[in-house]
Amino acid sequence: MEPKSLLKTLVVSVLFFSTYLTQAQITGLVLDYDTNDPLIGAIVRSGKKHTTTDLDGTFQIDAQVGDSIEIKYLGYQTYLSTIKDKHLRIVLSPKSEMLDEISVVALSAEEAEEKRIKSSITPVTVITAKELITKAGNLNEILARQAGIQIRQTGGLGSSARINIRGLEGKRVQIFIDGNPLNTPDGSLGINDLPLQVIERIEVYKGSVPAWLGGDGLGSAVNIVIRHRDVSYIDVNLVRQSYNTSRAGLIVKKSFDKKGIEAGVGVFNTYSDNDYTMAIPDQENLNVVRDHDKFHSLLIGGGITFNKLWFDEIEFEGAYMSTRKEIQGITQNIQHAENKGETIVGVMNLKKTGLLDDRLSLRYTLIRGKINVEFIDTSSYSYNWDGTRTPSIFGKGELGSGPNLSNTEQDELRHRLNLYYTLGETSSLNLNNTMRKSDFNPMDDVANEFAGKNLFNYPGSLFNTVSSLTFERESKLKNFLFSAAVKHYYNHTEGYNTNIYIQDAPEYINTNTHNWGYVAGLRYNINEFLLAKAVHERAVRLPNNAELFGDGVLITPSIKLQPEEAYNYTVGLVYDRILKNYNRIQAEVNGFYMDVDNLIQLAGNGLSIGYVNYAKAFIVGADFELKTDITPWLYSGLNVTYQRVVDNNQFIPGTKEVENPTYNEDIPNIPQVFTNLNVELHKENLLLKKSKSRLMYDLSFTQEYDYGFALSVYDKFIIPSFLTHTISIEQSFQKDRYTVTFEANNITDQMVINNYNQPLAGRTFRLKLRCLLLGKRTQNHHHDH
Amino acid sequence: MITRKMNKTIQSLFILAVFAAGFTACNKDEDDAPISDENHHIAIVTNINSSSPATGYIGTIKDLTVGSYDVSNARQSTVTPFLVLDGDDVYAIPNQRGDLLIKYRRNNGVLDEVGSLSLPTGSTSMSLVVENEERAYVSLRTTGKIAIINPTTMTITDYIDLSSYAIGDASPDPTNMILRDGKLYVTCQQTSDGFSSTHPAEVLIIDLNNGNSITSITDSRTTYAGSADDMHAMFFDEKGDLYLFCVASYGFVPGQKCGFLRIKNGENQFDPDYFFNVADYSINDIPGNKIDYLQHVLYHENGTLFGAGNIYSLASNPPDYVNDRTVGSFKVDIYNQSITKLDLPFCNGYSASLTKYNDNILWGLSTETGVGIYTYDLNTGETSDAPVITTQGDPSVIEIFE
Repeated sequence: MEPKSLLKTLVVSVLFFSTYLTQAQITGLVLDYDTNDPLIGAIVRSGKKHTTTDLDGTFQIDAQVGDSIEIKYLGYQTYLSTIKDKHLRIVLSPKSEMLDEISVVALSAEEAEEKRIKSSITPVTVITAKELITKAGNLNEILARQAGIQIRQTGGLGSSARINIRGLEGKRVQIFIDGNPLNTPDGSLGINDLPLQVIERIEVYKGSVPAWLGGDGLGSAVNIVIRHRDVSYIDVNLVRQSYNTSRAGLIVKKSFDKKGIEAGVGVFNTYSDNDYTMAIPDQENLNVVRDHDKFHSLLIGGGITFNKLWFDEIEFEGAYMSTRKEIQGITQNIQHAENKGETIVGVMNLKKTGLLDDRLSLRYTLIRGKINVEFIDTSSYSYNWDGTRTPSIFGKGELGSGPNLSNTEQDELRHRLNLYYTLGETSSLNLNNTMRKSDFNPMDDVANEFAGKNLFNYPGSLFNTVSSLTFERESKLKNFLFSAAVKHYYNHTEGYNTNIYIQDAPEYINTNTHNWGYVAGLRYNINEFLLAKAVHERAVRLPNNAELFGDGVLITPSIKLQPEEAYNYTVGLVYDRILKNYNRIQAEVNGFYMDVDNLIQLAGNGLSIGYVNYAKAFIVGADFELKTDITPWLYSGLNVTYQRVVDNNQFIPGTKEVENPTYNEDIPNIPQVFTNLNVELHKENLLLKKSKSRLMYDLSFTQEYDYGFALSVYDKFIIPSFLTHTISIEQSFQKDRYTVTFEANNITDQMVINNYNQPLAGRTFRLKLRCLLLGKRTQNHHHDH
Repeated sequence: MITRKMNKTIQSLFILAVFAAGFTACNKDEDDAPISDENHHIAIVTNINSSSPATGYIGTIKDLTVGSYDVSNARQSTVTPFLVLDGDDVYAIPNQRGDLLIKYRRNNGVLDEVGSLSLPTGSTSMSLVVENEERAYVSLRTTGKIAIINPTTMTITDYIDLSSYAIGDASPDPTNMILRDGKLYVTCQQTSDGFSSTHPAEVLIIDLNNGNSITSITDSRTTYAGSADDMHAMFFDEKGDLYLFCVASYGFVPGQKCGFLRIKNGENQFDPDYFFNVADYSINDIPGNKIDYLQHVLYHENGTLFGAGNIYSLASNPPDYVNDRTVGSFKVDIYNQSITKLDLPFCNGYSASLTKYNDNILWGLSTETGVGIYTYDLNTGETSDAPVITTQGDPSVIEIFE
């Protein structure tokens, strides 16, 4: 793992108990299917709460949208579903009749939540716990199989990876945990270290990001919602896989219902040798086994929640994480350089609903973290691929231009305040504010001594806030939703104007920027099954400290950097229909156009380099997704994505209208066409009673794409296409208490590269054992924003 | 029983399979390359610096009449490779961005790839000198060796180990090379902190006819012998005297002076009576009147050379990599020690290339008003005020086929 991605990982690690609670009154009417007469005395249950219908068939119950609801009436089919609306109209059929194409078809709670999220104005892919929990793979692999998403991995477990959504990647895509922005400096995807067993669902917003997710970015985001079981439970996960990789996770949680207290701890350990074979670029017929790529991470977290104080929920969490990652050389044999990191994070979450006549809900998160990252590169030797060694070509150290023994301390203070105010039955306001204050203190006396001057020991800091106000109005029939938001970004940074060639004491400099953004969109339900949505956004990504202040050595400061900006336009259609026998069809198609400007990239003058606002591009594309429950035992999913990122600089920046030689050419190093298919056979009670068996097949295909602009008939820098097949067999017993999963990933051992000259592992086998012991259910929590 | 819905899904899977097969079947066809009807005279490297990562292209241009050059038939390369021409052959040296040395041959307007060899991993190849059809030398800066290769078979036959001349590490950083009378002259660019150097300028003289015996000569009047990205930083004049330009930490270490040193014909020492201190020379018509190093030089005749020099007064602090254009074009008299600015626009550091073609010095410049090849007429002293050939990408190397 890259040192800078530690922050992300570690913030991620402590947020896994967060939730959002809104309790409200649900009202409803229960009718006979044939006669439409009210059914009197039907038993209505939601969680612990229960009631019966009145003389007019109506009821009121303390529950909320997303909770489960069960309605029983003698001689009628039992209705079991999830609450989708505050006002319900439920039709029960006599037992002699089959449930048919009426609204009384049960969705699980998570399916209902997925449907609710998908009915927002923004195109969003929702990966539910059902798709996550039993997988033997990791989060990156699961994300990479979604429409519109690519994960650009650089190596084995623990190596950095960038998420690419709609052609934009790295820092341009925002990552959130329960709505809290991670905005770490380097844009690599540290969330892969997040254990799957703590995830409730993943929301991938494409082309536009709801304003209630604070933070900056250019229009796509991943929000990971952490699972919050409201029962006592023990969850044990053990994974063993190729390349001497093992993962173990344990969560223990206890609920003290009378006192309204929940307490839990989690321990997660991951280890890998990553010792797969790779071909060395530019060396004909040289294949080596990666022997310096070991990765180890340990995460210990705990939290306590109080549910019966003035706040609906007060939660305190803490976590410790340590990581160690050796650095695998690809263009040279590295044998000693490595990264280490340690982090301690504390989190406080407050939630309160029912304020101001039940109109105002509040959620507040405060995060304090200390991160310590070490980079160790002091070898006295350089190594050849045949194992022979010579004195270090730099005198000391294997990477860069000399030794490093750096220790960077980072202090983080963040908060998020979210206020939700209801304006009558159909309108609402949402105010969101995130703040981040970071202090960086790098120390590298060894490198300074080698350089003969202080190059590295220069502190820096940043302070930023992102505030948004969203107005939403939904028609009374709920078939039309309008949403509009404004966002304000403030960024203040401080640091030193330093680089290798500056002789005098470096100047202390600071920057201040204010920017505005907005989002506006609508959703219209064309009929019961089909909805259309359209959204427009002006998005902003602020330059970060690494871009503004360089690395103290060859990357020089760029204090005049402007934020990147994007104007995004997206339209989409979502189809969701449940037919007889629980046959469900879900389809989604989205088209998008994005006009991006001031993109920040590295440039140089032949001697040193630095970040500049340079590229201007438009992105056009479409994605399509189809999910079908073909039969009660056969499920299939398919998605296809096409996207082009096109150079839109007509003239070379910094010139007097000199034609840009790559104007209107596709910007390279971005996948253009990719598709995923999965088929799942599942059967209950096949082996034993209360058992479930699943057989899953996944196909992934990415078309080859250029690493440089495609300008010559002899172009050779191409990232080759790949087609992989993965088969998984899963068997659970005793209502999912015990689960065994076996997975053969990339069974044809296809060479997969999604970064130039960064070979990835081939065929991988995995075995996963899971034990989930749930206590008695007490109450429902709902995870919503 | 297969339902209608299942049928539909099976159908869609089949469509997907066909769809996927269509992707994999789509490959680039090299046979489409257009062939012109005669050999080109100019070899050029241009770099597409607007992309991230930047890439280089190695191509050829027929002559100065073509008006514009694009890379549609050029060979893709890592950014800023160096070129060495030998007859019809073009050796592309990957610099620090790869290990694959590729040999091309000009063939009616295109470059055919006729051979390649893998240099040691991460060796940072800096220059190549061809002795004959069976013997050439490649300097490996980080490996601390000279690779002896057979340029016909493109195989490494031996190494000359220079590591015993290293100061504080395993390599004396061999960079520029030139060969004459069985002696291979190698500039060393040993750094003292990984970036700049306080060591005296150093040249290793390897006697190829005498068991590769090595003589090291140094001169403390300047540092950093040679220029890392210039094949012509070391050259002989008509008298057989060897001159080399020393970049002196690119002007970033106070007190260090870049300039020219000389090894007189027949001598094995730097000429103690000659040092052209370029750093302190006051040049008319440029901001600040000073340059801090010459990035590329090209010897012409009778002590006259041309060079692209960095004018530090034109650089922003911190550098502005979009708008700064700091490199000017100069005529240098190394005998009488004078420098004159030429009337050509300032360019960025990724271009500033030059060569001699017929009666012109060709300048590959990326300027505020044009990108391409500009000319300086050796007879009239006139310069072109716009590119005579516009190029796709910043021109970092221009060479002429003999």
